[in-house]
Amino acid sequence: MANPVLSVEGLTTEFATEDGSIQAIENVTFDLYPGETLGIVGESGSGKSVTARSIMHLLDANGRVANGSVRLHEHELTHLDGRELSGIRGTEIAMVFQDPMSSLTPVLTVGTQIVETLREHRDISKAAAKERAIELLADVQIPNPDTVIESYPHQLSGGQRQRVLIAIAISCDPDVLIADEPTTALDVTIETQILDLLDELARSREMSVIQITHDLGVIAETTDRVAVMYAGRIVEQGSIEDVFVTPHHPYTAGLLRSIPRIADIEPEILAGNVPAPATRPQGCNFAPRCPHSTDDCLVDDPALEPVTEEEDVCGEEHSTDGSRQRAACIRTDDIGILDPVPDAERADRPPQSADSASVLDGTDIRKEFTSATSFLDSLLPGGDPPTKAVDGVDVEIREGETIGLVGESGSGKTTLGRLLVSLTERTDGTIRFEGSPLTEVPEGELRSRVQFVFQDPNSSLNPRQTIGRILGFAVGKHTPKADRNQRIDELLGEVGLDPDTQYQYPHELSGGQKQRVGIARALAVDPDVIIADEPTSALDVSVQGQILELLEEIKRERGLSMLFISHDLSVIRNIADRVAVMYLGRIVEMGTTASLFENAQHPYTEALISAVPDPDPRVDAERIVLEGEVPDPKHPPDGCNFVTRCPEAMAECREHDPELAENGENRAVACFLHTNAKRSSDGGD
Amino acid sequence: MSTETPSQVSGSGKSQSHRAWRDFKAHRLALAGFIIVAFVTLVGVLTLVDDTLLDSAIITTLYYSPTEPIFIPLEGPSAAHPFGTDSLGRDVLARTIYGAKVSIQVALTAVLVAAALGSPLGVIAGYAGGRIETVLMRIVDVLLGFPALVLAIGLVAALGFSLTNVIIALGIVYVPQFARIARSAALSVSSEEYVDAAKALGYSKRHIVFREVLPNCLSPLLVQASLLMAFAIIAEASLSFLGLGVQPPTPTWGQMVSSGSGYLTTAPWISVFPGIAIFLTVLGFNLVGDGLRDALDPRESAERRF
Amino acid sequence: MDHRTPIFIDRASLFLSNNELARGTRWQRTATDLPRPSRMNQLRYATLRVLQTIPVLFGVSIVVFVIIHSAPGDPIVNMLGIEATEENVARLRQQYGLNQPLYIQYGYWIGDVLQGNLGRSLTQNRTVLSLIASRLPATLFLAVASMVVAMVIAIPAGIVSAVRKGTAGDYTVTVGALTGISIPNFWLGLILILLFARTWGILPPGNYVSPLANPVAALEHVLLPAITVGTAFAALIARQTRSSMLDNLNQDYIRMAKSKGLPNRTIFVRHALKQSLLPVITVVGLQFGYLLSATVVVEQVFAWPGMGRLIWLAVRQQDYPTVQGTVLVVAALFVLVNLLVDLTYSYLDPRVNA
Repeated sequence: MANPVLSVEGLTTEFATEDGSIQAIENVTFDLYPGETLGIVGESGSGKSVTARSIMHLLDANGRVANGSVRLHEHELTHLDGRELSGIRGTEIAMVFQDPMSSLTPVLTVGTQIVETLREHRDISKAAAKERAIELLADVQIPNPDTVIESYPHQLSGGQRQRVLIAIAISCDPDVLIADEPTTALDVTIETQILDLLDELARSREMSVIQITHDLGVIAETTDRVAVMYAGRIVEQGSIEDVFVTPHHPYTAGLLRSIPRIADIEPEILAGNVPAPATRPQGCNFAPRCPHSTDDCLVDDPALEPVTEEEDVCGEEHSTDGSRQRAACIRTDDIGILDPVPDAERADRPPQSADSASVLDGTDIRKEFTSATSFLDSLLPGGDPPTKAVDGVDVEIREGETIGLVGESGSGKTTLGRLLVSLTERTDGTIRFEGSPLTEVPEGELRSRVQFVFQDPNSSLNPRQTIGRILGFAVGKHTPKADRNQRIDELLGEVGLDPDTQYQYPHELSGGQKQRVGIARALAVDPDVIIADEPTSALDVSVQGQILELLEEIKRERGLSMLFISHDLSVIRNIADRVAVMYLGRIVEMGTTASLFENAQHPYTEALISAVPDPDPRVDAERIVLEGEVPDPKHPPDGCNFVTRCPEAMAECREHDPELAENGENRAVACFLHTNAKRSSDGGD
Repeated sequence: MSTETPSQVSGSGKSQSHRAWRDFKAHRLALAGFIIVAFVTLVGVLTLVDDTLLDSAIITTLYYSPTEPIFIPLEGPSAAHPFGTDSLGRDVLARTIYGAKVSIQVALTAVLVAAALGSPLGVIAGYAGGRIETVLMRIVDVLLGFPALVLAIGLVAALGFSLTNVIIALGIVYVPQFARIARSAALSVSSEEYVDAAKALGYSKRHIVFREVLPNCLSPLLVQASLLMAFAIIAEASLSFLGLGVQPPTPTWGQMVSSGSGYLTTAPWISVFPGIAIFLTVLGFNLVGDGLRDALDPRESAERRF
Repeated sequence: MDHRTPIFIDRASLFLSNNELARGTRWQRTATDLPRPSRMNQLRYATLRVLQTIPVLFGVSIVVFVIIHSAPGDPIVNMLGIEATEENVARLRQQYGLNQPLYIQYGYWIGDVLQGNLGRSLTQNRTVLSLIASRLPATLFLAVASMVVAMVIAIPAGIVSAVRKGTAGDYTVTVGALTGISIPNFWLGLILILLFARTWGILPPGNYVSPLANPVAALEHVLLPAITVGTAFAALIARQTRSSMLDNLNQDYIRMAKSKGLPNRTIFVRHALKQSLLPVITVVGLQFGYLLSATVVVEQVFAWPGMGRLIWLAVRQQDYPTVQGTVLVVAALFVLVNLLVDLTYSYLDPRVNA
């Protein structure tokens, strides 16, 4: 086995806070070999980003590397001063950051930001550097590199910005590339493009890559070896097959078992929360949540070691490739190999018969947002056309069913959800509640029968009100004062929270807890329909499952109907009875969950499903990689909205717009490959 | 990224205001400012009571009368007269103490009234949007198109030179400032999901504006109020320096500086001491405002992400 | 809507922009990947802003008119004196059109203003316009001198204090700025006169000398007044520069620039500096109003024959047409300066108009 190109040993980083010194990561050790992709996976608070920044010495002012060594080639990075580090950064090791918008300087053009890197490390003229920059932009597959080079970051889309970041990172041919959550902020179809790009660049340039993410599927598909981090320590390490197919650490196994998958598997919840850095338990950090923990586990943090002759260290030795699987657990001998795949098969979801009463439905719903910033702006010529966020949608929620609404950015799914609850005024179309148009339903009644669960737990609760007060307001409308407290207790219990939570403020709760409060608030008025807008997207992977299970349970017990909005197909797979796929303001396909996932008809649906990374590394999925970006909603393409990216576009698709039409039992699709239905011209499509 | 770890690293159970108070106290400068402000306010209130209800009994018995010209004029600072005497033979220290009355009255009243009027207007404008916002903000823009003191002078010229009119004038000058800040804050708060949640639950617009939006807009308004009180003190002093404010014989700091300007080389203490009083009071309010801003800054209480 | 875009529609709220930026940095998947924002080009934005200014100017004129016309006392009586006869008063009242409804009077007045006629002074035998024309240069000279003095000191001070946060240098600047905004300018002026003019005799105590006539003497004479006016201005600029700089140094793109291996100096100058100075431009514009206000007071102290002194004189003498005219001109000037600053800002910051 060749020598590692990057060698991290015993890395420990602390942060100075107002409450004392906190250790973010402890004793992190791993090697990176030439030409390989190493994944670091973990949830929030695991310290994976801190690890990357500690390696590059890019910590915030209050952080410092307390201990450990980082060897890159022959340099000991922890001992270098600023100047020496500057020389190494970019040329030998580079980083791609998570958020492309905030990582690019807004007032400088893209070209400037690439050229300055080149000129800093290489002795080339400005003109030559600019040439090279254009080449690099072409390497990262940005169309029209000569125009892009003069653009400012905010003029590019998210995917393009990420490519620019990558171009900058590889511009001086580093040997190591650290990618810190490079696709987390991107849509899944763009994610596939970027991951493919990274893979290709790594191979063609013989770079080693450290891929940091919380997404287990991405790790499974893109990495050769992986390190699993939990609460600041590495808990398991090894080749991707070893760790993901035969995990030894209970956390790894628990995590793998808890994520929603596209395959027909029912996820198994991992209970508990990740401990905050300041309150990590004595002994093994995972012990409080571990189904296999014993009292011995509470004594010391277990060391990460492979099996050796030493007695008190346990782990499985796997001698292929010289990289051995290691786990930080003192009970691996007893536990043995764990199964990453839960056993239960998904319970069958019988679709609601088409005769079920329709609870909430809409016909030809439209919502346009104007681009004018003021009255005067709308008078002046030359402005932008309005954005058709929702462009003629028919949707129906039947009693007792869960409809999954899937789409990427700009699809209009959130807007549609808000229109159905009357949080936003629709521009046109009819929405009916239990058969009566909304205009005839008194607002008070609508508000108590249809409720909304919001996405961002940090923003959905008023920070100045206690939980009790927040719920109290909601409860107060329907309950006499005497019963209010009891009702609050009941609600909190129903969402799995302690009654004492009502005395706390939102900032004292974790994300999952806040989300539960949001659900409790929606339930306070005893609704019949719940519209949930990405309720789990801002939560950690292991908590997502908890919330999803809670929602299902509540739905069952109260007999609710639900519209579940998400961009995450695995989640939709697990929770929805019927699915509607949206693209650029329209529904392009609809059907029962099982039939849609097994037999997608619309090319976009196919691409979406294939883009979801599978956490089983043995599956070698053929992924459909869509070209290009989602078009600007203000200037949708002529003909079918999807024509610019559709791998199966025909001539007809450029001229006419397909209409959503039935194509089988409980199925509908808007595509000329399957139906002939055209949209009636509604004025300049 | 995601938010599984509780936002408070320390995990204490205090509310946001408790934490802010703790941060504020930690700031020694802010504390010093607070002490100054409290002291001057106390003096101001006492002198107000003394003057209006007791006919200056307290200060005359404890010290000297601020208005009776009974001493030797233009005497420098001494044991008997720590601040010296002015051109009419009045004790400068006594007059300085009494000057606090007008300054505090003007600053506190004008700013508090302006805040009480301007903030709800701004919040309503920010939350309601549309035409209401446009109309309200246009009016605010017009008033903000005047340099503050120039507008105040114009108003005082029209209304007359008296204490009440100075308060009214400054109040009118400050209402748009509060409206502007309140609107910005309301815009920001209105985009938070809990406001939408309140709408979805069917709360009345009044409830949403006054119970959900406004309380979360208070921080910048509080900071602004403190800073504007500092400005108000200078504004009142400037007006009375120009002779356009409260008229003699009521002692005000600005007036004292002005009357001392003729004796700058011979008896500088007449101008210097009231000026120092203005400076310290304004400094106090500014320190408090800065301290509040630091303590209430959401960035300070933002989650420490790793 | 991209929650990361700073809200610059409302420049005055830039004091909040730090907080808003913080509040707005919630990670939202749907927002960051939306395609390019609207392309309102610069010309269109400029036109829009100019058009928006016109109603503001009209509003300003209405406010001025209303204020002056609610003054107590009869201007005619004030002008003619208390012994004026009834018929003289009535005749002049007719001549000035004071017996007509207010909005008609306004109509006449604004019509006159737009033609350049600001009326006649009641106390001095000149048109208001000629009075203003003779006084404005002195005030502008003082204002510009103050701005120059202030920015030359304040901006570097603010930058240094941000970069060396926590050190003695930072502390000095912060305390200095705090002092600067707390000192009453008229008092400062007197102190400066006392020290520099009377006691040490280095500099003259004001008295305007036109820079066109004698540049050196003009600078000498404007120095003390400029320092007086400029101190508070400098303090505000320094504070804004510091906070803007600190904000920027904390941003992700600075970390990104470091990761590229750029030396600190390059990062600082190219990535942080330009970005930080943009809001400062806006503050300069806003605080120009403060400058104009300050001149009223400071011109008194230094016997500077400018607009400020004119306003004061007119108010004392109840010369209402002059008060009206000067306040109008000063306010209009402020509005136009703000417009100019807005347009400059939009020109320099690529995010505003693209």
